[in-house]
Amino acid sequence: MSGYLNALSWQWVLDATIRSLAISVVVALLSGFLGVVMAWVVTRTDAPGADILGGVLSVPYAIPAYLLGMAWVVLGNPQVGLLKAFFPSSGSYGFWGIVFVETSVAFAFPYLELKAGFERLDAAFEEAARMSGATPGRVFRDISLPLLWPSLLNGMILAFLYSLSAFGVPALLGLPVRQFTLTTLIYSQLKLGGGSGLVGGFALSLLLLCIAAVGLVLSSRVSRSKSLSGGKSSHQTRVKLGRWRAPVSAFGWGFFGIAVILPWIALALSALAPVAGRYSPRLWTLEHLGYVLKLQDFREALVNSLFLAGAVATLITFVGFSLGFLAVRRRQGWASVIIQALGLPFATPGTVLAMGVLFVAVVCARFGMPINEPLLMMAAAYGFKYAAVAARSLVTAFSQVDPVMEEAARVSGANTAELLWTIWLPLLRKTLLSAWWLGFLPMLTELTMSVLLTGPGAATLGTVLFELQEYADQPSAAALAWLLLTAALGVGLMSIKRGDWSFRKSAS
Amino acid sequence: MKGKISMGSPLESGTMFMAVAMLSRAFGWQFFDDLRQNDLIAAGGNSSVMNRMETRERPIGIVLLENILKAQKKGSSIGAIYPPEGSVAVPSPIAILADTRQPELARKVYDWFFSDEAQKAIVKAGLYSPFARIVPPMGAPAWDKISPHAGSLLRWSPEVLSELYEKKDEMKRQFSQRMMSR
Repeated sequence: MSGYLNALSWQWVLDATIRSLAISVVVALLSGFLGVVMAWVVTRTDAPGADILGGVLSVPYAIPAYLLGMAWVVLGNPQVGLLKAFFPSSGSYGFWGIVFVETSVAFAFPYLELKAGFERLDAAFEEAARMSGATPGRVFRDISLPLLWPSLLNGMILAFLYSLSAFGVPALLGLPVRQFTLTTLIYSQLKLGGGSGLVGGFALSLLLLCIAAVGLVLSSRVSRSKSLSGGKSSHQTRVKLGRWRAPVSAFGWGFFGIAVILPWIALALSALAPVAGRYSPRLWTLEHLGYVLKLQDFREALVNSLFLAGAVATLITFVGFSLGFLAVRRRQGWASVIIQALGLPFATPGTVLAMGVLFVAVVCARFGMPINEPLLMMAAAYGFKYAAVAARSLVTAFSQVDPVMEEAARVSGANTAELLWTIWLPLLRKTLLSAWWLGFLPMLTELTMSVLLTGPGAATLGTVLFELQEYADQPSAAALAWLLLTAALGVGLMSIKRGDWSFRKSAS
Repeated sequence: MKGKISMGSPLESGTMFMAVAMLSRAFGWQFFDDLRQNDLIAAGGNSSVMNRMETRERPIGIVLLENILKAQKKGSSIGAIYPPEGSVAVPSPIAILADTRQPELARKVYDWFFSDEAQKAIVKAGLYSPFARIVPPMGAPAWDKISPHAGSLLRWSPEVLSELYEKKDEMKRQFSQRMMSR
């Protein structure tokens, strides 16, 4: 311990710890607020375009937050930024910049949870209250919110852990103004090299894990939930907003515009510019977009990333489904403990997690079991990192659905496999999809861990992006980022048209 | 100059480390303390310094010449200023691992790198060749014109390199304490 203290003053550690905590708490609170409002607007109101909004609001979650950070650096640039007038002289750097960008991604945790929750929730309770004369606000406060409290809390916990372990955004927006968080301090300690740097890095990682563990324990205290909601997704009526239609819709679309469209424009301009900083339309060129599309690595990465993210997301959804069933319906304590414990790797910075995987690989090689497959190592790292996302949202869903159907099936002689297949799978279809999606999207573009674990033949979208950023130039990196964001938007929009496998409010 | 300069982080970029090592060797840490007074940004690698210059967020940068030459080819208006004290050379070493599984093949690659063909390819990418017979990269002056004078502490030699290697952890620590803490 004393070895690393000569490089790291307690003041520095304390400063970073407080900043990390403050950022994570503020992000969690803002995410919770936005998640509730947006999920309610898109599932329960007649706001214009609510269905489309419902699909596209998950888009920011699909791209690495640090790309959004990149876009906001461009937008807030004090010299040439498109929105420089709205920014302080320091641009988008510092505490509020980090909070803002992380919230625009992390709000998807409570949002997607609550959206699935609202869709699962039997509207009969809300209708009963409304018929008894309660205003929409009152219904929301007294009926929907208490019922969906576990989903909200879980979403906020995920948002908290997410920003606690976030590296890209604090590095991009914090380091230039010397505002360290625990993750960037860990990174700089590991990069310092030597024994003391390594010890310092891992000591700080332990500190981060302790904070995450305290957060998880506190949250499990308050989230004792009652299963009050009906499992059948019955017909849902929408609140007539009346004169509030326009303002509510404007708020929803305004948020979408700021969180997604502005960064999309910024990345497009950066991709079209011949060199960074020259955005005049006369100079626009498709050179960088063409360069990225023709890149051999990009094609390899596309295949690898789709395959990896798809396979691991399916696996963790299945594991989460089974663990959730065991923990909630079979009251197996060990399953609950595992689900809580999965929150720790989720809160671990990717750098530390990837180094752990590498360490295990080295140990395995010592004992004659060489693991030379980078894709396998990435799959393991992804799985550990994101298993919590699927497991936690499924456990919440299991605990919220009335088990009356399961009991009926059991009485009729169904075994466990039949129960899961014929009762729970259809009942939790929406939550399963949102859990899969919550895992799939960040894995598709995962960068921090992939960069450390990649090898020949194992390029992923994240590693290609990193290489463009480091070794090519800003416009090429922006071109790939823009392509990814556009693809995410496309998928979001398509899922509304196709309707079936998506988040669209189904008319079942 | 306040708020106008950026450089990369020697913790993240090897070439940036070389610059920090040589500059602190020649001018002492006071040089960096003074830069800090000018609210220098020290983050990322060479490409982020380039980006800060291109977008005029920080119009002045300490950066690799090859990055500037590459950007100029694409129409960038960034120009290089060669300091009168001489420029820091960042040598790119080549070696064969003692336990390589392909010693003959490795030797062939090693030898190829010293051929005119390879050296010209390196120069085309914006780097200097160590051989006088190979012309400098397009748009760059001859190395003699910008290299530190004989006896300068900025001047590179194998002995200097091994001295820097010894002190590398200490130098990174010095830098992070002086430039990165609040």
